[in-house]
Amino acid sequence: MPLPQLDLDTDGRPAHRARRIRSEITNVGLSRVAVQLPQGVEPVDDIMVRAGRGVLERKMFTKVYGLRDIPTLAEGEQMEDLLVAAGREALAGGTADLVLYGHTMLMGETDLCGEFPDRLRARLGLTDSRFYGLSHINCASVLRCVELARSYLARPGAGPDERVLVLGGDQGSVADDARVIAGTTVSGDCAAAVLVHAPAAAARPRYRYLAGAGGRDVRFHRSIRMTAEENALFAKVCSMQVVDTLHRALDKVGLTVESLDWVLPHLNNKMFWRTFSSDAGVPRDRICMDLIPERGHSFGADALMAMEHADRMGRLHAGDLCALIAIGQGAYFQAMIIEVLEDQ
Amino acid sequence: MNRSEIVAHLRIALSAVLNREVGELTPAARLFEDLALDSTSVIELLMSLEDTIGLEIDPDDLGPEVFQTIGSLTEYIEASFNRVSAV
Repeated sequence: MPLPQLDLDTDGRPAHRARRIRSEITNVGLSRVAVQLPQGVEPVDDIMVRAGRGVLERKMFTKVYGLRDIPTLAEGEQMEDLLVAAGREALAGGTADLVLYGHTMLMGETDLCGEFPDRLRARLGLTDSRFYGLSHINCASVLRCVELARSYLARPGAGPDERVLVLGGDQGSVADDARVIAGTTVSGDCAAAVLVHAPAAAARPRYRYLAGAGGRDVRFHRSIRMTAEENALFAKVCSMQVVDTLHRALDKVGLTVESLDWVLPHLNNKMFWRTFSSDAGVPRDRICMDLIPERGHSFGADALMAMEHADRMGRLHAGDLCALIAIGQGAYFQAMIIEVLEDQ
Repeated sequence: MNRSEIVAHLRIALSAVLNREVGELTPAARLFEDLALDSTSVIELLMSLEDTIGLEIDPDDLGPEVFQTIGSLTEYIEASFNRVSAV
């Protein structure tokens, strides 16, 4: 069956929003994002005190970075339960041929180890589906999973009804010193899931994938073990690396940053996105930072959570173009351009 | 607080952040390239000035343009003082 081409006109849109999108790639669809939050919440400052961080850094995180609270697993709650609940909601009673779990923490560091993939598949009702984890690119892993899902669904012989379930999120609360990334952010325990549909699927998705791009900068391969000098250099160049990755994604479909209605960001901190706004020429009010004070950073799930929030708040409308952005320590970058489709 | 007083306080705070004596500061001195600061250390410097000289910053006004030179940082601090005194 021939794949639908994305060269399209913008029928039905007001003239001032008319855009012409060029694409030679396979445009899969994405479901609404399912997000699961734990029952607990902790003040960022309490976590930083326990992690032994200095007064000035604590003040910087809360006042300048805008980090206030972090969702945290309550006593007896399990990260696996959040992932299952998010996955079930995204599946909406349906199935998936493949499950891709993008995570940052090593499985052995959480309570997910020990037959976790088998347990998860069984609880999702996907016993016969294949399951793969993607972790080596840290917090860029979840958006990269969507890219891999797109490739999988575009393979020769793929059926129109095949679907891929993408899961994201980690247990940040596994250790206080590990959940505070020096000079950057504090990580929480949230899970997100999205179902990726084949291009010719009968079901109409909420979003259409338009393009994506990834990048890496090996100068920062030491990740959380970088020296002070490497951290300083990373802070200096990170925003421009994100801008470059975003431009490469937009270029693939003949778009520019001016075309974007929303940037749905990595929720690391507000100061980073103020810098990005200046470097990219994207107005701050088009970067959806609402969740930073109340949820902070949830590893690779951030951009999906920002999209779910923006949609739930009624900010996304059919025809809107959005850029989802993720940044992984190490350093890895991922940008994904989507179009919002008519709500069903 | 006038500019020369702000620069004098900046010099003291910078010496503490850099853990060395900082000489005379010129407005053109670049924070990253000439003084070996990074964005995190500049923000921490501003946080320390909030505690020592009563500076009250508005994070929404804080962008990368502030982090260019001693002159841009001084202007930002001066504007922050003026905003507070105007309230």
